[in-house]
Amino acid sequence: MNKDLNKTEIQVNREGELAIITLNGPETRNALDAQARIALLANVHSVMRESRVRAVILTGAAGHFCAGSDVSQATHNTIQRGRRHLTEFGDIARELLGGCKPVVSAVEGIAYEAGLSLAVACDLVVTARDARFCPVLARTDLVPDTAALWTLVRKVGSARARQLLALAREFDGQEALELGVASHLTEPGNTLEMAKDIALRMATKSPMAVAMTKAALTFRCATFGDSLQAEVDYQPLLGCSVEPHPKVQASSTWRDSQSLGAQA
Amino acid sequence: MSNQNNASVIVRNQDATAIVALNNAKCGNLFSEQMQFELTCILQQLMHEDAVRVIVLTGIGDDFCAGDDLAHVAQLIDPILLRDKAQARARLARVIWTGSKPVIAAVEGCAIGTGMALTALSDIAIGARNAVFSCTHLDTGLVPDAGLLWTLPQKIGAGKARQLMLTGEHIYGEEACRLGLLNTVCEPGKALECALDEAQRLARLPPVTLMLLKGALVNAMNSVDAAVRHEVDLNPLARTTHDHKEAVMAFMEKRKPQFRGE
Repeated sequence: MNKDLNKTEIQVNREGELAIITLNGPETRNALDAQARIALLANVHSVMRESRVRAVILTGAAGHFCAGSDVSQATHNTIQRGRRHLTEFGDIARELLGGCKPVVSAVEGIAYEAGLSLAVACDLVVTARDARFCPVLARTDLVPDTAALWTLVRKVGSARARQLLALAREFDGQEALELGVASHLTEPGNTLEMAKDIALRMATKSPMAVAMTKAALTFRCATFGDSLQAEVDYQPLLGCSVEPHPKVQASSTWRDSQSLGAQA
Repeated sequence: MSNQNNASVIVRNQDATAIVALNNAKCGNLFSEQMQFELTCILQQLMHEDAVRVIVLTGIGDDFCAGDDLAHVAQLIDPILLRDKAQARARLARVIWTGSKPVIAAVEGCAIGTGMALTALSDIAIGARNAVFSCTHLDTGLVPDAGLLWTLPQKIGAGKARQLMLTGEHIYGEEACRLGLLNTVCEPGKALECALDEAQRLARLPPVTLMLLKGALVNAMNSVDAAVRHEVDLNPLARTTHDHKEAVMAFMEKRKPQFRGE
Protein backbone atom coordinates (compact mmCIF):
# COMPACT_ATOMS: atom_id res chain seq x y z
CA MET A 1 0.00 0.00 0.00
CA ASN A 2 1.38 3.42 -0.93
CA LYS A 3 1.62 5.92 1.82
CA ASP A 4 -0.98 8.64 1.51
CA LEU A 5 0.65 11.76 2.87
CA ASN A 6 -2.62 12.94 4.39
CA LYS A 7 -3.22 9.76 6.33
CA THR A 8 -1.88 8.85 9.74
CA GLU A 9 -0.05 5.55 9.92
CA ILE A 10 0.50 3.52 13.07
CA GLN A 11 4.10 2.40 13.51
CA VAL A 12 5.29 -0.10 16.07
CA ASN A 13 8.95 -0.40 17.05
CA ARG A 14 10.24 -2.93 19.49
CA GLU A 15 13.25 -2.07 21.61
CA GLY A 16 14.05 -4.95 23.89
CA GLU A 17 11.17 -5.26 26.33
CA LEU A 18 9.47 -2.07 25.12
CA ALA A 19 6.96 -1.65 22.30
CA ILE A 20 6.75 1.91 21.04
CA ILE A 21 3.58 2.77 19.16
CA THR A 22 3.89 5.97 17.12
CA LEU A 23 1.01 7.84 15.53
CA ASN A 24 2.60 9.06 12.31
CA GLY A 25 0.77 11.57 10.11
CA PRO A 26 2.61 14.90 10.20
CA GLU A 27 0.21 16.51 7.69
CA THR A 28 -2.74 16.24 10.09
CA ARG A 29 -0.73 16.37 13.31
CA ASN A 30 -1.37 12.63 13.70
CA ALA A 31 -5.16 12.89 13.60
CA LEU A 32 -6.86 9.52 13.45
CA ASP A 33 -9.24 8.58 10.66
CA ALA A 34 -11.18 5.32 10.58
CA GLN A 35 -8.29 3.35 9.11
CA ALA A 36 -5.76 4.66 11.62
CA ARG A 37 -8.16 3.96 14.47
CA ILE A 38 -8.57 0.35 13.46
CA ALA A 39 -4.82 -0.02 12.98
CA LEU A 40 -4.14 1.50 16.41
CA LEU A 41 -6.63 -0.81 18.10
CA ALA A 42 -5.12 -3.84 16.33
CA ASN A 43 -1.58 -2.83 17.28
CA VAL A 44 -2.41 -2.10 20.92
CA HIS A 45 -4.12 -5.50 21.10
CA SER A 46 -1.19 -7.24 19.52
CA VAL A 47 1.60 -5.71 21.68
CA MET A 48 -0.46 -6.49 24.80
CA ARG A 49 -0.35 -10.12 23.76
CA GLU A 50 3.38 -10.36 22.99
CA SER A 51 5.06 -12.06 25.89
CA ARG A 52 8.46 -10.41 25.41
CA VAL A 53 6.91 -6.94 25.53
CA ARG A 54 6.85 -5.80 29.17
CA ALA A 55 5.80 -2.17 28.75
CA VAL A 56 4.25 -0.04 26.01
CA ILE A 57 4.83 3.57 24.97
CA LEU A 58 2.31 5.60 22.98
CA THR A 59 3.63 8.68 21.20
CA GLY A 60 3.26 10.84 18.11
CA ALA A 61 5.60 11.72 15.24
CA ALA A 62 7.03 15.09 14.20
CA GLY A 63 6.59 17.02 17.43
CA HIS A 64 2.91 16.35 18.06
CA PHE A 65 0.96 13.70 19.95
CA CYS A 66 -2.44 13.63 18.24
CA ALA A 67 -4.88 16.29 17.07
CA GLY A 68 -7.90 14.06 17.65
CA SER A 69 -10.05 12.27 15.15
CA ASP A 70 -9.66 13.22 11.50
CA VAL A 71 -12.83 15.22 10.90
CA SER A 72 -12.32 15.55 7.13
CA GLN A 73 -14.82 12.68 6.80
CA ALA A 74 -17.15 14.01 9.46
CA THR A 75 -19.63 15.52 7.00
CA HIS A 76 -20.55 12.03 5.78
CA ASN A 77 -21.29 10.82 9.27
CA THR A 78 -24.36 8.77 9.98
CA ILE A 79 -25.52 7.70 13.41
CA GLN A 80 -24.38 4.17 12.72
CA ARG A 81 -20.96 5.27 11.53
CA GLY A 82 -20.65 7.51 14.58
CA ARG A 83 -21.44 4.63 16.90
CA ARG A 84 -18.79 2.49 15.26
CA HIS A 85 -16.21 5.27 15.44
CA LEU A 86 -16.86 5.83 19.15
CA THR A 87 -16.85 2.14 19.93
CA GLU A 88 -13.44 1.80 18.30
CA PHE A 89 -12.03 4.71 20.28
CA GLY A 90 -13.60 3.28 23.42
CA ASP A 91 -12.03 -0.11 22.75
CA ILE A 92 -8.59 1.47 22.40
CA ALA A 93 -9.00 3.31 25.72
CA ARG A 94 -10.25 0.11 27.37
CA GLU A 95 -7.20 -1.80 26.20
CA LEU A 96 -4.77 0.95 27.29
CA LEU A 97 -6.40 1.20 30.74
CA GLY A 98 -7.17 -2.43 31.49
CA GLY A 99 -4.81 -4.32 29.17
CA CYS A 100 -2.08 -6.43 30.67
CA LYS A 101 1.03 -4.20 30.18
CA PRO A 102 1.83 -0.82 31.68
CA VAL A 103 1.47 2.02 29.16
CA VAL A 104 3.27 5.37 29.17
CA SER A 105 2.29 8.17 26.80
CA ALA A 106 4.94 10.63 25.61
CA VAL A 107 3.23 13.88 24.68
CA GLU A 108 4.84 16.63 22.58
CA GLY A 109 2.94 19.47 20.92
CA ILE A 110 -0.77 19.04 20.35
CA ALA A 111 -2.95 16.58 22.32
CA TYR A 112 -6.44 17.64 21.40
CA GLU A 113 -9.80 15.93 21.78
CA ALA A 114 -9.30 12.15 21.29
CA GLY A 115 -5.55 12.85 21.49
CA LEU A 116 -6.01 14.11 25.04
CA SER A 117 -8.29 11.18 25.80
CA LEU A 118 -5.75 8.64 24.52
CA ALA A 119 -2.96 10.28 26.51
CA VAL A 120 -4.87 10.14 29.79
CA ALA A 121 -6.00 6.56 29.16
CA CYS A 122 -2.33 5.58 29.64
CA ASP A 123 -1.09 4.66 33.12
CA LEU A 124 1.53 7.40 33.09
CA VAL A 125 1.73 10.55 31.00
CA VAL A 126 5.07 12.20 30.24
CA THR A 127 4.49 15.67 28.84
CA ALA A 128 6.72 18.34 27.32
CA ARG A 129 6.55 21.64 29.17
CA ASP A 130 5.04 23.35 26.10
CA ALA A 131 2.65 20.56 25.04
CA ARG A 132 -0.89 21.79 24.40
CA PHE A 133 -3.83 19.81 25.74
CA CYS A 134 -7.46 20.62 24.99
CA PRO A 135 -10.75 18.70 25.32
CA VAL A 136 -11.91 20.60 22.26
CA LEU A 137 -15.13 18.63 21.73
CA ALA A 138 -17.31 21.02 23.68
CA ARG A 139 -16.59 23.59 20.96
CA THR A 140 -18.07 21.28 18.36
CA ASP A 141 -21.26 20.43 20.26
CA LEU A 142 -20.18 16.90 21.09
CA VAL A 143 -19.66 15.11 24.39
CA PRO A 144 -16.15 13.92 25.34
CA ASP A 145 -15.25 10.47 24.00
CA THR A 146 -12.55 7.81 24.22
CA ALA A 147 -13.42 7.25 27.89
CA ALA A 148 -12.45 10.81 28.86
CA LEU A 149 -15.60 11.08 30.98
CA TRP A 150 -14.18 8.26 33.07
CA THR A 151 -10.43 8.91 32.98
CA LEU A 152 -10.38 12.69 33.34
CA VAL A 153 -12.79 12.73 36.27
CA ARG A 154 -10.73 10.11 38.04
CA LYS A 155 -7.40 11.77 37.32
CA VAL A 156 -8.16 15.41 38.04
CA GLY A 157 -11.28 15.18 40.22
CA SER A 158 -14.85 15.95 39.33
CA ALA A 159 -14.81 19.72 39.83
CA ARG A 160 -11.75 20.34 37.66
CA ALA A 161 -12.89 17.84 35.01
CA ARG A 162 -16.22 19.66 34.74
CA GLN A 163 -14.43 22.95 34.31
CA LEU A 164 -12.02 21.65 31.66
CA LEU A 165 -14.72 19.88 29.69
CA ALA A 166 -17.27 22.66 29.84
CA LEU A 167 -14.88 25.42 28.85
CA ALA A 168 -12.80 23.34 26.42
CA ARG A 169 -9.87 25.39 27.64
CA GLU A 170 -6.36 24.73 26.36
CA PHE A 171 -3.66 24.06 28.98
CA ASP A 172 0.07 23.43 28.70
CA GLY A 173 2.33 20.66 30.00
CA GLN A 174 3.16 22.50 33.22
CA GLU A 175 -0.54 22.88 34.06
CA ALA A 176 -1.21 19.28 32.96
CA LEU A 177 1.22 18.16 35.67
CA GLU A 178 -0.37 20.39 38.29
CA LEU A 179 -3.87 19.19 37.36
CA GLY A 180 -2.87 15.53 37.49
CA VAL A 181 -3.45 14.96 33.76
CA ALA A 182 0.28 14.27 33.39
CA SER A 183 2.51 12.35 35.79
CA HIS A 184 5.90 13.61 34.56
CA LEU A 185 7.13 16.84 33.02
CA THR A 186 10.22 17.36 30.86
CA GLU A 187 11.70 19.69 28.27
CA PRO A 188 10.36 19.63 24.70
CA GLY A 189 11.94 16.87 22.62
CA ASN A 190 12.78 14.72 25.65
CA THR A 191 9.46 13.01 26.37
CA LEU A 192 10.20 9.78 24.52
CA GLU A 193 13.52 9.31 26.32
CA MET A 194 11.92 9.92 29.69
CA ALA A 195 9.00 7.63 28.85
CA LYS A 196 11.47 4.88 27.94
CA ASP A 197 13.28 5.24 31.29
CA ILE A 198 10.02 4.97 33.19
CA ALA A 199 8.69 2.12 31.05
CA LEU A 200 11.92 0.16 31.55
CA ARG A 201 11.55 0.51 35.30
CA MET A 202 7.98 -0.78 35.16
CA ALA A 203 9.12 -3.61 32.86
CA THR A 204 10.98 -5.16 35.80
CA LYS A 205 7.77 -5.80 37.76
CA SER A 206 6.00 -9.15 37.84
CA PRO A 207 3.95 -9.31 34.57
CA MET A 208 1.03 -11.20 36.13
CA ALA A 209 0.78 -8.83 39.09
CA VAL A 210 0.90 -5.82 36.75
CA ALA A 211 -1.82 -7.31 34.52
CA MET A 212 -4.09 -8.06 37.46
CA THR A 213 -3.53 -4.70 39.11
CA LYS A 214 -4.46 -2.88 35.88
CA ALA A 215 -7.50 -5.09 35.34
CA ALA A 216 -8.64 -4.62 38.94
CA LEU A 217 -8.23 -0.83 38.80
CA THR A 218 -10.11 -0.64 35.51
CA PHE A 219 -12.87 -3.23 35.80
CA ARG A 220 -13.16 -4.37 39.41
CA CYS A 221 -13.25 -1.19 41.47
CA ALA A 222 -16.79 0.16 41.05
CA THR A 223 -17.31 -0.05 44.82
CA PHE A 224 -15.26 -0.74 47.95
CA GLY A 225 -16.82 -4.22 48.14
CA ASP A 226 -15.90 -4.92 44.51
CA SER A 227 -12.29 -4.01 45.05
CA LEU A 228 -11.98 -6.27 48.11
CA GLN A 229 -13.46 -9.14 46.10
CA ALA A 230 -10.89 -8.45 43.35
CA GLU A 231 -8.08 -8.86 45.92
CA VAL A 232 -9.56 -12.10 47.15
CA ASP A 233 -9.95 -13.44 43.60
CA TYR A 234 -6.56 -12.35 42.23
CA GLN A 235 -4.11 -12.64 45.10
CA PRO A 236 -4.33 -16.44 45.55
CA LEU A 237 -3.71 -16.92 41.81
CA LEU A 238 -0.54 -14.86 42.04
CA GLY A 239 0.53 -16.60 45.22
CA CYS A 240 0.65 -20.00 43.53
CA SER A 241 1.37 -19.07 39.93
CA VAL A 242 5.13 -18.87 39.71
CA GLU A 243 8.31 -19.42 41.66
CA PRO A 244 8.63 -17.05 44.55
CA HIS A 245 10.00 -13.68 43.56
CA PRO A 246 13.67 -13.30 44.59
CA LYS A 247 12.64 -10.68 47.12
CA VAL A 248 10.48 -13.20 48.95
CA GLN A 249 13.46 -15.48 49.53
CA ALA A 250 15.76 -12.65 50.45
CA SER A 251 13.44 -11.40 53.15
CA SER A 252 13.50 -14.60 55.17
CA THR A 253 17.11 -13.90 56.08
CA TRP A 254 16.49 -10.18 56.32
CA ARG A 255 14.80 -10.18 59.68
CA ASP A 256 17.79 -10.57 61.95
CA SER A 257 20.55 -9.03 59.87
CA GLN A 258 19.70 -6.07 57.71
CA SER A 259 18.45 -2.60 58.46
CA LEU A 260 14.88 -1.65 57.69
CA GLY A 261 15.81 0.37 54.62
CA ALA A 262 16.44 -2.89 52.81
CA GLN A 263 12.78 -3.79 52.78
CA ALA A 264 11.88 -0.48 51.18
CA MET B 1 6.51 4.59 72.77
CA SER B 2 8.13 1.53 74.30
CA ASN B 3 6.83 -1.47 76.18
CA GLN B 4 7.71 -4.95 77.43
CA ASN B 5 4.62 -6.75 76.21
CA ASN B 6 5.31 -9.34 73.52
CA ALA B 7 1.87 -9.49 71.87
CA SER B 8 1.95 -8.52 68.17
CA VAL B 9 -0.58 -5.75 68.73
CA ILE B 10 -1.12 -3.83 71.96
CA VAL B 11 -3.80 -1.40 73.11
CA ARG B 12 -3.96 1.38 75.64
CA ASN B 13 -6.84 3.70 76.44
CA GLN B 14 -6.53 7.42 76.89
CA ASP B 15 -9.85 9.07 77.75
CA ALA B 16 -12.24 8.17 74.92
CA THR B 17 -9.42 7.18 72.58
CA ALA B 18 -8.02 3.69 72.16
CA ILE B 19 -4.42 3.63 70.95
CA VAL B 20 -3.74 0.47 68.99
CA ALA B 21 -0.08 -0.17 68.26
CA LEU B 22 1.70 -2.71 66.07
CA ASN B 23 4.30 -4.17 68.36
CA ASN B 24 7.37 -5.58 66.70
CA ALA B 25 9.67 -2.58 66.83
CA LYS B 26 12.90 -4.45 66.15
CA CYS B 27 11.52 -5.55 62.75
CA GLY B 28 9.87 -2.23 61.89
CA ASN B 29 6.47 -3.77 62.70
CA LEU B 30 6.71 -6.11 59.75
CA PHE B 31 3.15 -7.27 59.19
CA SER B 32 2.84 -10.95 60.07
CA GLU B 33 -0.21 -13.15 59.84
CA GLN B 34 -0.35 -13.22 63.62
CA MET B 35 -0.28 -9.42 63.70
CA GLN B 36 -3.07 -9.25 61.14
CA PHE B 37 -5.18 -11.66 63.18
CA GLU B 38 -4.65 -9.78 66.45
CA LEU B 39 -5.24 -6.39 64.83
CA THR B 40 -8.50 -7.53 63.26
CA CYS B 41 -9.78 -9.00 66.56
CA ILE B 42 -8.81 -5.93 68.56
CA LEU B 43 -10.35 -3.46 66.12
CA GLN B 44 -13.53 -5.50 65.87
CA GLN B 45 -13.85 -5.43 69.64
CA LEU B 46 -13.05 -1.72 69.99
CA MET B 47 -15.66 -0.83 67.37
CA HIS B 48 -18.26 -2.14 69.84
CA GLU B 49 -16.90 -0.76 73.11
CA ASP B 50 -19.06 2.14 74.30
CA ALA B 51 -16.26 3.89 76.17
CA VAL B 52 -14.16 4.13 73.01
CA ARG B 53 -15.09 6.88 70.58
CA VAL B 54 -11.98 7.12 68.43
CA ILE B 55 -9.22 4.67 67.50
CA VAL B 56 -5.63 5.72 66.84
CA LEU B 57 -3.53 3.22 64.90
CA THR B 58 0.25 3.46 65.22
CA GLY B 59 3.47 1.47 65.46
CA ILE B 60 5.79 0.94 68.42
CA GLY B 61 9.30 2.20 67.71
CA ASP B 62 10.62 4.16 64.73
CA ASP B 63 8.37 2.75 62.02
CA PHE B 64 4.66 2.46 61.38
CA CYS B 65 4.86 -0.76 59.37
CA ALA B 66 7.72 -1.71 57.05
CA GLY B 67 5.72 -4.14 54.90
CA ASP B 68 4.54 -7.72 54.93
CA ASP B 69 6.43 -10.42 56.73
CA LEU B 70 7.23 -12.65 53.77
CA ALA B 71 9.17 -15.27 55.72
CA HIS B 72 6.57 -18.02 55.38
CA VAL B 73 4.87 -16.92 52.18
CA ALA B 74 6.97 -19.00 49.81
CA GLN B 75 5.85 -22.24 51.47
CA LEU B 76 2.18 -21.58 50.87
CA ILE B 77 0.95 -23.05 47.60
CA ASP B 78 -2.48 -24.47 48.38
CA PRO B 79 -4.90 -22.15 46.53
CA ILE B 80 -7.63 -22.64 49.13
CA LEU B 81 -5.29 -21.60 51.93
CA LEU B 82 -4.13 -18.65 49.87
CA ARG B 83 -7.72 -17.63 49.32
CA ASP B 84 -8.42 -17.82 53.07
CA LYS B 85 -5.40 -15.63 53.61
CA ALA B 86 -6.68 -13.05 51.11
CA GLN B 87 -10.12 -13.17 52.76
CA ALA B 88 -8.56 -12.49 56.16
CA ARG B 89 -6.81 -9.43 54.76
CA ALA B 90 -10.05 -8.20 53.17
CA ARG B 91 -11.75 -8.65 56.56
CA LEU B 92 -9.21 -6.38 58.20
CA ALA B 93 -9.80 -3.75 55.49
CA ARG B 94 -13.56 -4.04 56.00
CA VAL B 95 -13.31 -3.66 59.79
CA ILE B 96 -11.45 -0.37 59.42
CA TRP B 97 -13.25 1.09 56.38
CA THR B 98 -16.79 0.09 57.31
CA GLY B 99 -16.45 0.04 61.11
CA SER B 100 -18.49 2.33 63.32
CA LYS B 101 -15.69 4.48 64.79
CA PRO B 102 -13.19 6.85 63.21
CA VAL B 103 -9.66 5.50 62.85
CA ILE B 104 -6.68 7.87 62.82
CA ALA B 105 -3.30 6.63 61.61
CA ALA B 106 -0.20 8.09 63.28
CA VAL B 107 2.70 7.34 60.94
CA GLU B 108 6.42 7.60 61.70
CA GLY B 109 9.19 6.13 59.55
CA CYS B 110 8.32 3.40 57.06
CA ALA B 111 4.79 2.82 55.82
CA ILE B 112 5.57 0.32 53.10
CA GLY B 113 3.18 -2.11 51.37
CA THR B 114 0.62 -3.02 54.03
CA GLY B 115 1.85 -0.01 56.05
CA MET B 116 0.77 2.22 53.18
CA ALA B 117 -2.52 0.31 52.84
CA LEU B 118 -3.29 0.81 56.56
CA THR B 119 -2.55 4.53 56.18
CA ALA B 120 -4.93 4.79 53.22
CA LEU B 121 -7.63 2.80 55.06
CA SER B 122 -7.69 5.18 57.99
CA ASP B 123 -10.28 7.97 58.08
CA ILE B 124 -7.59 10.48 58.94
CA ALA B 125 -3.85 10.01 58.53
CA ILE B 126 -1.15 12.03 60.22
CA GLY B 127 2.47 11.44 59.30
CA ALA B 128 5.94 12.72 60.05
CA ARG B 129 7.74 14.84 57.47
CA ASN B 130 10.28 12.04 56.97
CA ALA B 131 7.74 9.19 56.88
CA VAL B 132 8.17 7.14 53.71
CA PHE B 133 5.41 5.47 51.71
CA SER B 134 5.67 2.94 48.91
CA CYS B 135 3.46 0.38 47.16
CA THR B 136 5.88 -2.54 47.01
CA HIS B 137 3.20 -5.11 46.18
CA LEU B 138 4.25 -5.69 42.56
CA ASP B 139 7.83 -6.31 43.66
CA THR B 140 6.59 -9.33 45.57
CA GLY B 141 4.52 -10.43 42.56
CA LEU B 142 1.21 -9.52 44.21
CA VAL B 143 -1.53 -6.99 43.56
CA PRO B 144 -2.04 -4.15 46.05
CA ASP B 145 -4.38 -5.36 48.79
CA ALA B 146 -5.98 -4.51 52.15
CA GLY B 147 -8.38 -2.27 50.23
CA LEU B 148 -5.64 -0.23 48.55
CA LEU B 149 -7.16 -0.76 45.08
CA TRP B 150 -10.10 1.29 46.34
CA THR B 151 -8.69 3.57 49.01
CA LEU B 152 -5.67 4.92 47.13
CA PRO B 153 -7.50 6.08 43.95
CA GLN B 154 -10.24 7.50 46.18
CA LYS B 155 -7.76 9.50 48.22
CA ILE B 156 -5.15 10.64 45.69
CA GLY B 157 -6.88 10.23 42.30
CA ALA B 158 -6.66 7.46 39.72
CA GLY B 159 -3.64 8.81 37.85
CA LYS B 160 -1.35 9.14 40.84
CA ALA B 161 -2.61 5.84 42.30
CA ARG B 162 -1.65 3.98 39.10
CA GLN B 163 1.73 5.68 39.11
CA LEU B 164 2.56 4.72 42.70
CA MET B 165 1.21 1.18 42.32
CA LEU B 166 2.96 0.43 39.02
CA THR B 167 6.32 2.06 39.77
CA GLY B 168 6.59 1.41 43.53
CA GLU B 169 8.30 4.79 43.85
CA HIS B 170 8.81 6.28 47.33
CA ILE B 171 7.03 9.37 48.54
CA TYR B 172 7.73 11.27 51.75
CA GLY B 173 5.48 13.02 54.27
CA GLU B 174 5.13 16.40 52.55
CA GLU B 175 4.34 14.88 49.16
CA ALA B 176 1.93 12.35 50.73
CA CYS B 177 0.11 15.27 52.36
CA ARG B 178 0.01 17.28 49.13
CA LEU B 179 -1.47 14.26 47.31
CA GLY B 180 -4.10 13.61 49.99
CA LEU B 181 -2.79 10.34 51.45
CA LEU B 182 -1.97 12.22 54.66
CA ASN B 183 -4.30 14.85 56.12
CA THR B 184 -1.57 16.45 58.21
CA VAL B 185 2.19 16.34 58.16
CA CYS B 186 4.15 16.93 61.37
CA GLU B 187 7.71 16.96 62.71
CA PRO B 188 9.33 13.53 63.22
CA GLY B 189 8.35 12.03 66.56
CA LYS B 190 5.13 14.07 66.83
CA ALA B 191 2.68 11.93 64.82
CA LEU B 192 1.09 10.21 67.82
CA GLU B 193 0.75 13.47 69.72
CA CYS B 194 -0.94 15.17 66.73
CA ALA B 195 -3.19 12.13 66.24
CA LEU B 196 -4.28 12.24 69.89
CA ASP B 197 -5.17 15.95 69.55
CA GLU B 198 -7.24 15.14 66.48
CA ALA B 199 -8.83 12.20 68.33
CA GLN B 200 -9.92 14.54 71.14
CA ARG B 201 -11.67 16.77 68.62
CA LEU B 202 -13.44 13.79 67.03
CA ALA B 203 -14.39 12.42 70.46
CA ARG B 204 -16.43 15.55 71.12
CA LEU B 205 -18.68 14.86 68.08
CA PRO B 206 -21.97 12.94 68.44
CA PRO B 207 -20.96 9.25 68.20
CA VAL B 208 -24.15 7.89 66.63
CA THR B 209 -24.10 10.49 63.85
CA LEU B 210 -20.38 9.91 63.33
CA MET B 211 -21.11 6.20 62.97
CA LEU B 212 -23.89 6.84 60.44
CA LEU B 213 -21.62 9.19 58.50
CA LYS B 214 -18.73 6.75 58.36
CA GLY B 215 -21.10 4.00 57.20
CA ALA B 216 -22.56 6.29 54.55
CA LEU B 217 -19.16 7.22 53.14
CA VAL B 218 -18.50 3.57 52.22
CA ASN B 219 -21.00 3.63 49.37
CA ALA B 220 -22.28 7.20 49.06
CA MET B 221 -19.59 8.03 46.50
CA ASN B 222 -20.60 5.25 44.11
CA SER B 223 -23.20 7.45 42.41
CA VAL B 224 -25.10 10.66 42.95
CA ASP B 225 -28.24 8.59 43.57
CA ALA B 226 -26.44 6.62 46.28
CA ALA B 227 -25.30 9.87 47.91
CA VAL B 228 -28.80 11.31 48.02
CA ARG B 229 -30.34 8.03 49.16
CA HIS B 230 -27.98 7.91 52.14
CA GLU B 231 -28.99 11.42 53.19
CA VAL B 232 -32.65 10.55 52.91
CA ASP B 233 -32.25 7.30 54.83
CA LEU B 234 -29.89 8.46 57.55
CA ASN B 235 -30.79 11.99 58.55
CA PRO B 236 -34.28 11.09 59.81
CA LEU B 237 -32.55 8.48 62.00
CA ALA B 238 -30.02 11.00 63.27
CA ARG B 239 -32.85 13.41 64.09
CA THR B 240 -34.32 10.91 66.53
CA THR B 241 -31.18 10.82 68.69
CA HIS B 242 -30.80 12.49 72.06
CA ASP B 243 -27.56 14.02 70.79
CA HIS B 244 -29.31 15.87 67.94
CA LYS B 245 -31.83 17.37 70.38
CA GLU B 246 -29.00 18.23 72.76
CA ALA B 247 -27.09 19.96 69.92
CA VAL B 248 -30.12 22.10 69.05
CA MET B 249 -30.76 22.97 72.73
CA ALA B 250 -27.09 23.85 73.30
CA PHE B 251 -27.12 26.11 70.24
CA MET B 252 -30.22 27.94 71.51
CA GLU B 253 -28.79 28.22 75.02
CA LYS B 254 -25.37 29.32 73.71
CA ARG B 255 -23.46 26.53 75.52
CA LYS B 256 -21.32 23.53 74.54
CA PRO B 257 -23.36 20.36 73.86
CA GLN B 258 -22.79 17.19 75.95
CA PHE B 259 -23.12 14.21 73.68
CA ARG B 260 -23.67 10.77 75.16
CA GLY B 261 -24.05 8.56 72.10
CA GLU B 262 -27.80 7.97 72.31
